[in-house]
Amino acid sequence: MRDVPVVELKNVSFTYGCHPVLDNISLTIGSGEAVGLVGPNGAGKTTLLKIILGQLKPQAGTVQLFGQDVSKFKERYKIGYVSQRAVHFNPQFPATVREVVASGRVARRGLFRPLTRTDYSRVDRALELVGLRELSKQPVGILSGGQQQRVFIARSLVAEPAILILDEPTVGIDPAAQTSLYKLLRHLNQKEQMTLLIVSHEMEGLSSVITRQVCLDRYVCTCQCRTAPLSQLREDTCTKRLVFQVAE
Amino acid sequence: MEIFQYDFMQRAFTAGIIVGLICPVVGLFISLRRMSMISDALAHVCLAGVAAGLLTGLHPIITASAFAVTGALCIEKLRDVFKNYSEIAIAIILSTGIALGAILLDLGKGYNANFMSYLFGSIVAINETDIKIIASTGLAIFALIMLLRKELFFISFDEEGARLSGIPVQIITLSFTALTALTIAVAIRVVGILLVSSLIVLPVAAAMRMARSFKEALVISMIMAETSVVVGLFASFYMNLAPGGAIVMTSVCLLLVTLVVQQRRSAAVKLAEKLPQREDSSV
Repeated sequence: MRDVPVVELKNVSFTYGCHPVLDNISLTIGSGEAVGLVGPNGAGKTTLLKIILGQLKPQAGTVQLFGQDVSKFKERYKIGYVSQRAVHFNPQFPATVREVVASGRVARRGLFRPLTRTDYSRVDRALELVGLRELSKQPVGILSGGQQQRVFIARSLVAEPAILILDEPTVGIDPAAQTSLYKLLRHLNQKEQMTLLIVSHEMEGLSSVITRQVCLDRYVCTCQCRTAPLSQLREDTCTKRLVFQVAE
Repeated sequence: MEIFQYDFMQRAFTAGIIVGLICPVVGLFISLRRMSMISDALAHVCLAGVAAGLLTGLHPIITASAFAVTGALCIEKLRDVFKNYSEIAIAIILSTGIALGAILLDLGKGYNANFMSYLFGSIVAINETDIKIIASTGLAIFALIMLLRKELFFISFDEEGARLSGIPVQIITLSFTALTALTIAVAIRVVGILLVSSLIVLPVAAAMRMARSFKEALVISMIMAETSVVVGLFASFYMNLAPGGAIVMTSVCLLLVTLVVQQRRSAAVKLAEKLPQREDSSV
């Protein structure tokens, strides 16, 4: 019996007014995969993400998370999401790194229930994993862009998600921080068996992280295996409408 | 101490300490969500509520609570309508509150000493019924906000993230706005309609300059508010001042002291950073 896919989109179409954004898209992400979703600005990457996260309802097609229809899916903690806008918070907000990361456990614990020692031990483990244990008592606003990105990854990780979705994780962080982010993502996928979906307008640096690359261009969706460079991917496949395949 | 021999002062301190506990707690979340003006708008809705109470013979704190909660829910609805211009919602409700208050006061010929005590707060006017209402409502508000503080923290820091993690953001936001309205309604007896928003914002403003964590911000803002209430009530008793004015002026003084101390401290830190460099360059 095959495993239930983490994300499964079948023939999804989405239109903003009379502007088609996604046309008959199908995509399956299996457990343990590291998928890179790439495409130029305006290709519909964010729309596709919003559909997966249940924020937008497609006009046609079905979206399933862990075999359940997205509208009926209640275990939101299983989907860890690091938004592109997460790092644009108010830097004067009085909160330490540990407090921000701990907030990732709140939904898991439930209303009116305080966080327990178990929750805080998960927080410490997540901080250890992203390499921010020493900075846990520092105000989050004074950290660098790369460190803040790690705080938000840790916040998602404490909820013990089955998939981690990152929207443009390399935007606004320096090359050194990018390299260390790739290392962290590789570790999460290979050692912690975390399924990854990384959305980016450039995939060159992330090629060491991902196991499959998916190209989204205009409203035609195509697929390619991890070995193909981005330039070749666009030339070869972006003019055709294809069904996604998993690279062998 | 002479001041505590009077029943009215005991009542004033009881009410003041409860109000000093809930105002900064509510205020911290309001300020972090950049909605400081909502307290001012709801205070003006309370004006209409008090006028309605005086007109109908119902207890003014009860009518003010009902008006404020309705006003708060209207603000939330209007914020949805004017999505990117949420301050418009606050302006609409503020002006509606004043206009309705003016009409109701005129109808009831209510510009009297009793009404003035609601406008600026009064320590002699607080009776046993007021205390019962303030204590029961105030402690319930405090308990509920403490129970919801981790959700409120997440929503204030990152609303979208909180929603996506599965937190029922809309229900919590609505409940919090209603609790804010109730806080203002019970606080007007002590500090008055015109000054209540100051007790909500000023202690938080001082705390936000000093705190390095959310927990610290919460504790410091409560200490600032309670200090303002106690010092203000002493000043009000011994110097025969309006309690609302005395409490808020103490709050303003505390904020000024905080700002000066902070400025001196950051100047000292900058100087300390420069000194080793100079020593290095002189070698």
